[in-house]
Order: sequence, then structure tokens, then C-alpha cells
Amino acid sequence: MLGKVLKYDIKVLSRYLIPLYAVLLGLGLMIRLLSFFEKVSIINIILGIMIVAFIFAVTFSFILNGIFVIKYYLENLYKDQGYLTHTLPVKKGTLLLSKVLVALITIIMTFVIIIISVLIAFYTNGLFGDVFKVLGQSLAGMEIYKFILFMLVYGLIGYLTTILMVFASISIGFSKSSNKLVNSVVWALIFYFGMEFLYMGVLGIVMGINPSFIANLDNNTFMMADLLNFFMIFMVFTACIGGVYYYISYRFMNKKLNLE
Amino acid sequence: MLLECKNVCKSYGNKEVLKNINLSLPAGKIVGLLGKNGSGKTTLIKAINGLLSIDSGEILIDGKEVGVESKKIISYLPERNYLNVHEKVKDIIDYFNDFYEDFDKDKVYKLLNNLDIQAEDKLTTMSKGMREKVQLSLVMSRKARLYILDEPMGGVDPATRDYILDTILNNFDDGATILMSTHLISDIERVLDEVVFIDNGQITRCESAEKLREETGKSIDEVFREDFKC
Repeated sequence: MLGKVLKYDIKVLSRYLIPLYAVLLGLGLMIRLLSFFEKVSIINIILGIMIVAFIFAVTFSFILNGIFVIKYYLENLYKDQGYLTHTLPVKKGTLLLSKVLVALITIIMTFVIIIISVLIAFYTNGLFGDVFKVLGQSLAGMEIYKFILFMLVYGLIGYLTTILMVFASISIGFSKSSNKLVNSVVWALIFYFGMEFLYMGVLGIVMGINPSFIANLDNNTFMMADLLNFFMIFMVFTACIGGVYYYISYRFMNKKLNLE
Repeated sequence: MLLECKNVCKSYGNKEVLKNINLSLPAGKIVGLLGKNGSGKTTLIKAINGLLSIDSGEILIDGKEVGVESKKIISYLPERNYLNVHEKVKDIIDYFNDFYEDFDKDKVYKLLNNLDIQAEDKLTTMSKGMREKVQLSLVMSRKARLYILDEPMGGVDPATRDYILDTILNNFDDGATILMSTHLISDIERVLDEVVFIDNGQITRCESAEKLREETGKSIDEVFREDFKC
């Protein structure tokens, strides 16, 4: 059943995302075309505006992606469409897992589209060679590609945990009899500040175990591997919190559903 | 019994909306769940469909708790539009066909053809009444064992009410049970086998429609008006 649910979830979200991807690719193409005439001053000005718009579009793509996923979660499970979704012969866990997977799939798709649109806009001969040369280089004891790969995984985990935080807030808020949306916002704030508090706690523990850690950030003895270890602790911690949010979302959907 | 509710209680905050509901429905009956607005009809229906968690008690459908197995045998029509209005009719049909093993695709196309609705039509282009008919056609195109219809004729003109009632009666198997909530009793009383009166979250009557008419010498509509006189 997961495959069927996922198929329809991706189909609905594609309806929102395709226009966004069209804008990104369109802007990339416009920049490329205008760059052929950049010596004409008026076109150069337009090109500058297009580049600024492109940067905004790229930045907001990730935010919009998250907003679409959350909007869909709310509408598909807790608004009128929920009357159909929750009467399908499908386990609640499958419904939730599909929403998480669709969040993951769409953010990867968005990332790929951004890369393609950047290449359309700014590709020059020898770019890949230069990129691979830089990626193969070593920075403070570690290859750059490993560092970038690590940060991408960390970014994905952080993104999914944030999405799950909102899912959990909605699931709790919409289990109430009244002020469902307000309750959801309140719970999102509680979770957010709670999470910040816990991160501070983890940082405190790290510093307690290794008191020279922060001081080392400023001197040359600090290596990239140490920094990654530091981030690794936070990554595992973030993933654990994501797991807790997943359980809360599932628990409230399964035991406290309240489609009044 | 096809449906059993045992001591079902549900509150919204401090307000008790279902008070110790006990109800058993056999297979092969058309049952009217009758009550005033706010009596608890929709809440009970939502609880049976797993859309609301109950505070206490037990709901069994064909001996199973509310869950995946019960949803396989219940075809539910809510009192609102639950379809994605941006979809085309054929996409919605495919959706039902994918998820419900008992869904009859040919039957739904036949029903929609009678309404002059095409597969390529989008729900956004349809009136509210037309969307309700699409929804009803989808629900009645399942070979379910229990059809739960919440106010299927609410807010529609008399001609459409007749169409809805005919669609319901012509499209369910003899062995299936229909539980239909409404306060338009005069429209449906001729087809009811059993009546369940619900008032203020409590079942006040649960008996054979024929027996009730015989005992009181009145129509169900008249009995309802007497029982629920303000």
C-alpha cells in the first residue's frame, strides 16, 4: 500500500512543484540567453535583475518546498480530504511514512532542479574539471567532497526533522476540540524552543567532556575531522529528535484523531 | 451482528456528545439513524469510521475493531465534499479503484454517464450538487457490506433527493446494510427496515420501522416529531 499512497502523494505535490521548477529553469535559461548580449548596457541591467531574482528563487525554493509539504499534510490528513484518506484501508503508519518520504523525495528533486538551473545559467567550459579539482582538494585534513557530502546529509536530516516537528504540532493541535490551528502553532513554538534548549544542553555536555573544544576552534590544531565529529553528535541528536516527532505524529493520528 | 457499539462515550471538552451508546445492527437491513441537529448522529458515524477516537467503549464491525479490515467493508459518504476538487473525475475513479478491492469501475462510469458527467471533467467546474452526486456514485460503486451515509440528502431539492434515494436503493447488494443519517424522515421512511432515534447523545429508540408504525399507528415522521417536540 505504501507505493500506492506515495504515488498519489507525489502526484498531488507535483502540481505545486512543477510551476516552481518551471520558474527556476526559466530564470536559468533567461540568464544564459541574456548573457550572450551582456555588452549592451540595458541588457546588462536586466541580466543583473534576473540574477538577483534567480538567487531569491533558489533561496525560497527550499522554503516553498517545505510549505507545500506541510500544507498537503494538513489538507490531506486533517481537513476535508482527511475524511477520505482516513477511511482508506491503509494503516496510519503507512499514511505518515508516505508523507515523510514525499518530503524527502521532493527536497532532493528541488535540489537537483536548482543544480540544473544553475548549470544552465552559469556553465562555462571546464567548470566540471575545476569543480572536481576543488572537491578533491584537502582542507584542514579532510577532502572537501567528504565534507560537502556530510553537510548534505546533515541538511537533509535537519530539514526532515523540521518538517516532522510541524507534522507533530499539527497532529497534536488538530486532536483538540477547538482552536486547532492556534494549538498547532503553540505546539510548534514549544517544540522549537524545547529543541533549542536541548541543543544547548548537548553543547554543554560536549564542552563538559572536552573543555578545550571551543578554544580549539580558533587555533590551527583543530582539524576538519574534529569539526565533523562535533557535527556528527548534533546530526545523531537531530535524527533522534526527528524520530520522537515521528512517533508523536503517529500516536496522535492513530489514537487521538479528531476530525470534527 | 455486522455493527456493534458497546458503551461508546465521547466528549468534546466538557460536553458529552455520545453517552453510553449501545447499538447492534444485523446484515441486510436499511437503517435510519434519526435525530435532530446536534443530537450526535454524525459523531457516532465518524466514530464508526475511525475519524474520531472514542473516550471509552468498543466498536466492532463484523467482529473486528475499527481499522484497516473494517475500512475494507465500509463504504462511507460524509456530509461534506472529501474529494480533491483539482482532480479530474477519471483520476478520482482510479484512486478509488487502486485502494478499494470491492470498487466497480464499470458501475461508476455507468452511473456518471447517466448524469452526463465525463471522465475528463474536473470537479472544479462542477456545482456543489454535482460533486455530491459524483461522491455518491463513487461510494455506491463499492460492493461494501456496510454503507454509512451521513445526511446524503441534506440541502438538496426534492427531485435530487429522489435521484439520490434511487441511486442508493438500486446499487447495494441484498446482504449489505445501509446506515443512513437524516432528518428528512418523510423522504426515506418508506424504505427503512429499522429506525434508530438518537437524542442528546443517547439512543432513545432502536426498533423495526414496521413494528413502530404498527404499535403507534403513526408514521415514523409523526413519531419523530412527537418524540423530539421542542
